[in-house]
Amino acid sequence: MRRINYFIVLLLISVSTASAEPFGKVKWTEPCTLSDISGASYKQIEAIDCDYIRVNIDGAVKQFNSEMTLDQQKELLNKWHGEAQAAYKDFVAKREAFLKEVDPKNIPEGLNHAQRLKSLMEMQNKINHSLIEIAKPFLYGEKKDATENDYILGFNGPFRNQWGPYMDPISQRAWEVNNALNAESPAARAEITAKVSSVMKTSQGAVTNWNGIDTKENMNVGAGVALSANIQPRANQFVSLSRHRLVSSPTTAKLPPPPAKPFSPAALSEADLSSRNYFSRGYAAGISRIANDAELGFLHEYGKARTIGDPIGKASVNFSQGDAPICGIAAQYEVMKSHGLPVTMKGLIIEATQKGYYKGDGTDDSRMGNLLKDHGFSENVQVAASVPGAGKAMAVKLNQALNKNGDAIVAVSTTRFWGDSSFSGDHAIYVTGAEVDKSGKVLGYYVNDSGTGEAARFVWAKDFDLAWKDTNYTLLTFNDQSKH
Amino acid sequence: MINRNIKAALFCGCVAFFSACKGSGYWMEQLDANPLHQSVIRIRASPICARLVPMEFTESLPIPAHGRDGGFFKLLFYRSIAPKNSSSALTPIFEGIFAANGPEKDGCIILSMGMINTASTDLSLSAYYQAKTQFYASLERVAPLYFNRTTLTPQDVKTLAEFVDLFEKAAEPGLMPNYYQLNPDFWEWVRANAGRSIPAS
Repeated sequence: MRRINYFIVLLLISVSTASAEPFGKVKWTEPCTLSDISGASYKQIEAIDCDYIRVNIDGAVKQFNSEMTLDQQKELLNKWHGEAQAAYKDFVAKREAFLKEVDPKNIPEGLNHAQRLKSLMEMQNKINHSLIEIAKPFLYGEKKDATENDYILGFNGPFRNQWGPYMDPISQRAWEVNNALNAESPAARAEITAKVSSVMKTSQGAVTNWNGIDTKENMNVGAGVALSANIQPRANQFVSLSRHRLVSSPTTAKLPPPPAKPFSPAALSEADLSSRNYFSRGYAAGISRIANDAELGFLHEYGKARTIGDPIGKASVNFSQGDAPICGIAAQYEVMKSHGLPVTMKGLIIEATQKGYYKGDGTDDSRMGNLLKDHGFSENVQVAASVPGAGKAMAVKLNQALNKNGDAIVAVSTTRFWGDSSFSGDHAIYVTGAEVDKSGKVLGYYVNDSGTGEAARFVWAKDFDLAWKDTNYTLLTFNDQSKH
Repeated sequence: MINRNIKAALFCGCVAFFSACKGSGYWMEQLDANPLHQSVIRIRASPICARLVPMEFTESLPIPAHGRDGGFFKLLFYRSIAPKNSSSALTPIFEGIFAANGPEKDGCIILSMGMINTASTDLSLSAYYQAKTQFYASLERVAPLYFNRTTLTPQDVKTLAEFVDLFEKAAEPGLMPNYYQLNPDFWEWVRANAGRSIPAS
């Protein structure tokens, strides 16, 4: 009896121990959830730890879920926690020091408007160029297994919305500097305009010396020209200004290349269905696309429709942006790739972030062609006036661009374009071609959509118009003037 | 042989049925024709707002506001994360203003850097556009009552009550505190006259 009681006590102890701690190890599931062997939640990982680990530890999840005991896992988490806290402390110190450097309140008293403007522009330049350095190593790591679709779009991507608490003070300061620039501009314009006029009259050489040379004099003069042209002053604006104001070359638009093979919409292979991501919006949407293509195949067969542009050829340049609000960058990336430029999304994101075109929350319409401009395209962003018939006029411009160059970029309403009320906001898409009838009337357009990953998606003209109308028919046309 | 009256009833019933089942395309077109909605699209493209507000940001519903020069409207631009029931952490929020009678007042300012819960209303596409269209139509009736501050008739009070219903159907649930802060005076005026309004915050 005593032996049985002793056994029962041991059993009770082991059961009570098991209910306090899981048996064996825990499992890590994306992004940072731990669960025990029964699937119940084990513990939370702190946001700081999660962000640091995801950015800096190669193969963290795989390593954690490998053959380790619970004690070994706990030891690993403690180690990572220590590293994360140290990196975070370092980041906060760097951030606070930086914020003092770029505080408009610290501009010395007694400066004239032009000098204040120059100081503010230097601050803006610092903010644009310093974000990544400040965030290292806490949020910008050196992961070797980073991919395009990684947690932070590769180890040098823009900061994600969930990093708001860390980066918010810098973003707030950026807005303060921006607002101070806007407030300073009218007064500075009056001071600088006369000076600019005399400099430009005296020497063309002085003007051409702007190319990438940020002398103190050039910054003042450049700011003046920028203000005169009603452009938001940015340090790197000078290079753009010189390229497009001083270097005049005739427009030599490249004709779109002929399609590699005759386009037969109905002849879809499994490879086509996969590469063009027919089902990324769901089964019904995919079937609808196949039905559209079948109808177009029929129209082609009987000579009642023809394709403009090379939508199938351009399907291969499509990029999937995931949740990041980088459609403006993605659309321009696709344009550049289809025109043969050796660019990467990572590189363009870094460039757009450093130049201030992209601030982590999206692209503003007025800058949606800036990357193209910086890479050798002439570009023109147009928005329809709010007058009757404006939509038809913009459609004519879109069609002209497609006939001339084979492509364009437009902004559409996501709710209408994806047919889903849980999505909202505007979205830039790459228009790669169109279908027209015998009279030349447009039946619909082909698009690459980085938001859904769909390539060469055909959209009937009426549906396209409904989605495009909601952005006031925002249209970006461009000519490839690069030498490649 | 079906009685002629029954045939007529069936025909009218079918017509009524189909007209009630209007698709999202119909409601989108109705919404696009609304002058106030056209004003919202206009200010997005205005020079100040186009430079300030990223294209990916969503516009909220507008509400009336008073100014020295008369009545105008205010709305929010905010970042909405696509997956349902997600919240957007510390993203800048912009306030837009416009007048119904022209673009002179069009403008945007940065309001704050705050946390917004942008959970969707979970309506079908057709119901979503129907709700928005009906809200904008109601706003066109309510705004002059607020701007002029006339004594309301019983019909006006009914219009106001309908406005609250339509707003609650069309508005983003997580933005209620922000809607109230856009113009507390308006929402208290609604409460005083219709007996109810959105919660004060």
